[in-house]
Amino acid sequence: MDSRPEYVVPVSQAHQYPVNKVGGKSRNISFCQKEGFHVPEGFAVTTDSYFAFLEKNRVAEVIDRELVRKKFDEMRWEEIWDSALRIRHAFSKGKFPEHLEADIMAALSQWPDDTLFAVRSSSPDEDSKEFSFAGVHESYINVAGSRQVLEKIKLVWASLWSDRALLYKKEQGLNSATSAMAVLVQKMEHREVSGLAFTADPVTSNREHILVEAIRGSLNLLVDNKKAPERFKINKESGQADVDGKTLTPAAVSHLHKKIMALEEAFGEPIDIEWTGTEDAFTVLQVRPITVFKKDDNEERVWYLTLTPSGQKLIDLAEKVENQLIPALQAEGDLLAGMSPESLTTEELIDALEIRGESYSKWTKVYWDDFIPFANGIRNFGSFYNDLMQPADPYEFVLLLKTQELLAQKRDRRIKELARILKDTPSEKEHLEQLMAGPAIGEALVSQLGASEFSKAFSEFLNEEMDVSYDNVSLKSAPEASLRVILALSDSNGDWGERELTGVNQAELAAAYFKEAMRQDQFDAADQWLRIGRVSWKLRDDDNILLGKVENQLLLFIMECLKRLFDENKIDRLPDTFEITRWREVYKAMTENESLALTVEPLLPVGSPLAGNGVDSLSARGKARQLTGQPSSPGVYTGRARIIRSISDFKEVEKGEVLVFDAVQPQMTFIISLAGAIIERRGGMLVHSSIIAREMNIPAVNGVPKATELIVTGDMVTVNGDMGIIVIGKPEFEVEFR
Amino acid sequence: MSEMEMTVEEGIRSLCEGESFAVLATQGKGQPYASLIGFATSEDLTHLVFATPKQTRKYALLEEDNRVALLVDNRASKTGSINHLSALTITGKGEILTEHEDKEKWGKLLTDKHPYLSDFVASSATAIVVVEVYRYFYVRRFQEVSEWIPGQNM
Repeated sequence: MDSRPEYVVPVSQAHQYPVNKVGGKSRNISFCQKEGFHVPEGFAVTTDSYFAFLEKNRVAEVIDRELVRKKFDEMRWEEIWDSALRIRHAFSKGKFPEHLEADIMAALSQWPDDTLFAVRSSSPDEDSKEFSFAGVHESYINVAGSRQVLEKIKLVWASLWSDRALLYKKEQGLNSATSAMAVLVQKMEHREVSGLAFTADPVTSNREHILVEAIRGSLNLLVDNKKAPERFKINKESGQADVDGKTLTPAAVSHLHKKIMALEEAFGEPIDIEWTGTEDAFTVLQVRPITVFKKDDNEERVWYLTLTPSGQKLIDLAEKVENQLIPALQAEGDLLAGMSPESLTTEELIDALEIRGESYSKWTKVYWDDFIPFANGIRNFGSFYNDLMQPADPYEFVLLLKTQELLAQKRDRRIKELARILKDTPSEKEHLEQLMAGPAIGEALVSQLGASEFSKAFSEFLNEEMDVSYDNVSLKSAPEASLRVILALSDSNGDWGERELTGVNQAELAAAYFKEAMRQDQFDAADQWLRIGRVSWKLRDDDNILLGKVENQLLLFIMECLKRLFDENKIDRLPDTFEITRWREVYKAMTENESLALTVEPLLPVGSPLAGNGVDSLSARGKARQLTGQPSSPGVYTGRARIIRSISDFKEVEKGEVLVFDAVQPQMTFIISLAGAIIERRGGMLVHSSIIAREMNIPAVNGVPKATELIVTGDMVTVNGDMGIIVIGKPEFEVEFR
Repeated sequence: MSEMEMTVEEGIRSLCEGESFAVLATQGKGQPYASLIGFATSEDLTHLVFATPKQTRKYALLEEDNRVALLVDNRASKTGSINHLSALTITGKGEILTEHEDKEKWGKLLTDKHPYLSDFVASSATAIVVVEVYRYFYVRRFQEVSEWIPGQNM
């Protein structure tokens, strides 16, 4: 006898199956049908199908690899997105087992070829009382053709491991062996009106009324916020409704009341319902017990969900960021830079400080509220591209994003030009080498450069490109950092750390992309998401530099205030730097004679590698031999490690060293011109260090927990950017020494 | 606590105390040789003890060259992918015990963990071998490797 699993179960029978086979959504809709309600025709693709697909394509190994790579709490949201992308890619590239595909095709063949389907997640965990995963997993509507249905089933399965789902599931423990997903495939039903109904108020739990949202047209207009619904309450007992009749006639409301009351009775508890049609054609699309919608108290997760705008929200954000915010930030930075603090009276200085402080506070907020979420434009394009093109490499889409020179690239190009001048004028170079060996730093160093061609060009460079702050230091006031890079680059024989894009031609890739989009009738979407992806790509780097400029103006004015406070003996020494977030304290010291503490106990930020739990002591940790992270730029390189903690470490960097960072920021990426490879604690395939390393063709591994603690300056390290592995110690080492 | 959350020392201890068997590697005239043994470790993890009949290749090889390596892993208790496994490579120097007192002390450590071995351990045809551990190489998350030297505050 054939004992193979039941891959497909008709909606009419799904209620007879356990929830871990068909999922909550399929079971509930099947139950409605059994109770005599009209539901769309369809079938459930069981969790046995999911496991059969996993087994054939060895997807569980991909999932486990992502889940155990590092502690979940040490993963940043960008890394979670990367993990989800790789898992999604594994599903997307997978092939259906023969029997499974045949069963699904057979189920689909009962409807005509031009039938449209909804392909919905039906997780064993969602739609139950304990859990609400609503909106965490994917559902697709208006899917045409059996091939597309199969593709969408894979994507619904993959959404069990989407970035959002990973965040929700991490507290429940993640395990590829015990998590599964069923899928509900339904024939689309369109009626004149559609809506949602709640038989208890999800916020107050009040059960006297039914809350209804109704619109003319199909339900997705409401769910996707494309159309505002009419909202009203129906008194459960009397059937009375405060409705103006625009969407529903009194007869329709009365019919809706009866149906919903009957449904609630059948389920025996408060429910929420997605429905379409009234009167003689009331159809239940989805129904589930009401979860008490508690406010999500996981701040990280709430924040994360704001980071992933899509659809119209992303389009609106792109418009706002590109056309309003970035030009305004640029103009403000330029305006603020037009004034020098030294010549101001004390009163003028105080006013100017306040203006700069307020500007900094305002733009920092914009950075978190708008710029960071806008980076999702890149990811949004990545998902669109991968769905459309099914590329072998899930990061192929990045090649289409580069069009304009980033501000950091412009700066690095000028550094190379300066290195060329130096290389061509040996006397200048010798002079600079002597200066760098001496004690002079800062302005004194620049003034000793003299009046040569190089010195002139360098001053221009400092003013135009380095008027930014990094780590509370003005890069303009620390010229030794960039001079160090220029000098080192001038030593090399035309090896300026540039790379030609090999093998891939952007124009050809773009042509293939638009051709495929045309074929799939998605040209406009393809055009729009690529454009937004490109803007997002450029601005995610540039915004840091533009914000760094505003920060630097605040820093310069703070330092001038400190100088005057020192002259008036109000502080006992003049510090080298000052935390700009404390600008209000400086303002108060200037205006209200309040005392100013020059140093405060550093508060370790949450998630800081140094803010350990105390248990993980150095001895308990052992000596790291081999560390793992994300392979963020390919290649293998062995060299001496140098830990970069601040700008003051730059002057020690030798060309060819492996630079180890906690987090790379665009303001300081010029130092990477000297690197043989990069290691970074912060992870992500699309973070600044990944992008720059791929561009310079040097290996990089990021997302390495405690990288700057476990590796020590001077260690020999081998960076394997193909595998995401770092080996500490000489490549050839004795197994035993005794 | 999940093994992925443990410190290196905790992970090593968990394997040494939780696993009963190890693969012992010995050598002779350039020929490597591997054997399955039951083992126990001292509280401070500086020593490891096992027993072997004297009429065995591993015993003969140990007499010839006392440098050994051992492999301990948790593949028996973790099914599925390599991503969930952890393993220890242990290097050290084996000493075949001759003094009665030593044999008693280390034999007890071994039989406390492996009570069914008590007759075997007590037999005069059995040798008790104590390995002084030089280093532990601890592997988890498929590719993450740490080195740990017992009794040393690194």
